[in-house]
Parts: sequence; structure tokens; C-alpha cells
Amino acid sequence: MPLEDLKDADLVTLAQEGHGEAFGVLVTRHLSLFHRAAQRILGDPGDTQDALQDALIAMHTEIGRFEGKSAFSTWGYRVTVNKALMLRRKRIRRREDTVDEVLPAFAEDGHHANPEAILAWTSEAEAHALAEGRELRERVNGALSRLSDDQRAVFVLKDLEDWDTEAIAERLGISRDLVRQRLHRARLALRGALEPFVTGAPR
Amino acid sequence: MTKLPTCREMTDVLSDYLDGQLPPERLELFERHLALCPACVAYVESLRGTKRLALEALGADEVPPEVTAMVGELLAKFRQG
Repeated sequence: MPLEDLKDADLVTLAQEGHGEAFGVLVTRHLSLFHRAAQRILGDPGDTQDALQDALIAMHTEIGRFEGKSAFSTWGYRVTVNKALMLRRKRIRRREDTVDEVLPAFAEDGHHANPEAILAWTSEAEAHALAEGRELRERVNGALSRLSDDQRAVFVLKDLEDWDTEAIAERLGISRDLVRQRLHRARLALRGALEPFVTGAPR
Repeated sequence: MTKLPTCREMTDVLSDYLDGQLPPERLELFERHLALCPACVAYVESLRGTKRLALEALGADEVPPEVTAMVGELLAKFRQG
């Protein structure tokens, strides 16, 4: 039977016995999952490639100790996220965000200061933005790059990777309350940074 | 009658609302404000939209050719030991 037809668990067993081709088939099968997670956390294509390389080397080194309690894809995904977060901390270290000007503004009485701009974010406007593939991607990456490292990690893990608050708190070594606070600020900031693009307002 | 939250106070708890974490008594006040305030309704929807846009923008399943090439070289090295 060709290796490509084997299930992950059987490929893992072969890889643990030193079968290099089996490891390659496993990794290739799940590469897009690993790549997407690293890309979301890091943004930069070069950093993404570096993190992915670190992750694959770690998987190759550690596969002998992988006990198969979770699926290979889940294990490899966790290794990749860890390497991406480590690389981000090492290279970028953005402790402070730069989002004050894109956070919502309020009048003295506590009402929204610019309700017109908010009401201009209609489903039609959003559909137009969604259709602008490459520009949308640039805008979202630009907006994410204004966040602090922790805010970005929290937003990516919660809203894009669908982790729960507890797992994020544990992974980042911060309290659940802090996760909630950072998530909230990140969401408002991202929304604000995307508003001119979505609504076509002058920037 | 309990005072309704302002738009600012609404915004402070928006993430809790979106994630279903608002306690019932605050949820009721939140929804009463929403019923009266089109701007807050639009704001809530735009926050959901932000997540949709981010997922779409960063959702590509395609691995760029340079990454595939790097992985191919790495796997070849592993095979050689």
C-alpha cells in the first residue's frame, strides 16, 4: 500500500521507527494547517517560514516521544503555535499597542461621537471589502501589526483559531481576566483600523 | 427603573456580550439599550464583521511555493539523517 493511503496513526508508527518518507507524508498532509496558524500569529512571510522550519525540526526530533494521545495534526499544530509565539517574542516584542486613535470615541454624555461612521458599516459595505482579496489581507495585517504581541496572540488564538479563554491564559501565562481585556481591546482596535477601508471614509 | 447603560458602557462589555458572558441582569439592560440605539446595533454587527473579515483575509489554505520548497529540502535532509 502506498504511504499516502495510510492513516496518520500508522504513519506515526513508521516515522517513530525512523521511516523518513512516512514523516514527510504526515507533515505534507497537514502543512496547510500548520502554515496558516504560523502565518496568522506572525504576519510576515519570512518569519512564518522560519517558525515553520523550527516547528518541523522539533516535530522530527520529538516524534519518538509522541504518545498518540491526540491526533498527529493536533500535536503538530501545538508545536507550530508554540514555535510561532516564541519567534514572535524573540523578534518583535511589541509590548505597547498603537491603537488609541482607532478606538471608539464618545461624546461627554457617553453616546457614540460618530454614529454616522458606525452606521456606514453596512452588510453591503462589508461585502465589498470581502471582495477585495489582496487589499483586505493587507489591511487586516496592517491592523494586526498595531496590536501588542499579547493582544495579537489573544485575538488570533481566540477569534481565528477558536481556542477557549482558559487554554489561551495557560499558554500565554496570563490570567483569564487579562485575556478578556486584551481580546476586547484588540477587537475594538481591529474594527477601528478596518473602518475606513470598509466604509470608504476618508483616511 | 434601572438606568440604561450609555453607549460607552455598552462598548465596555461588548466582548462579554459577543461571547455570551454577560450576566442575565446586565444582558437585559444591554438589550434594552440596543432596542433604542441603531448606532450600537451597527457597532455590534461591525465587530462581528471584523472577525469575518479577519478570518477571510487570513484564511488561505494555500501554502506558498517557497514554503513548500523549504519543507521539501528539510524533509530530504531528515531522510539523509
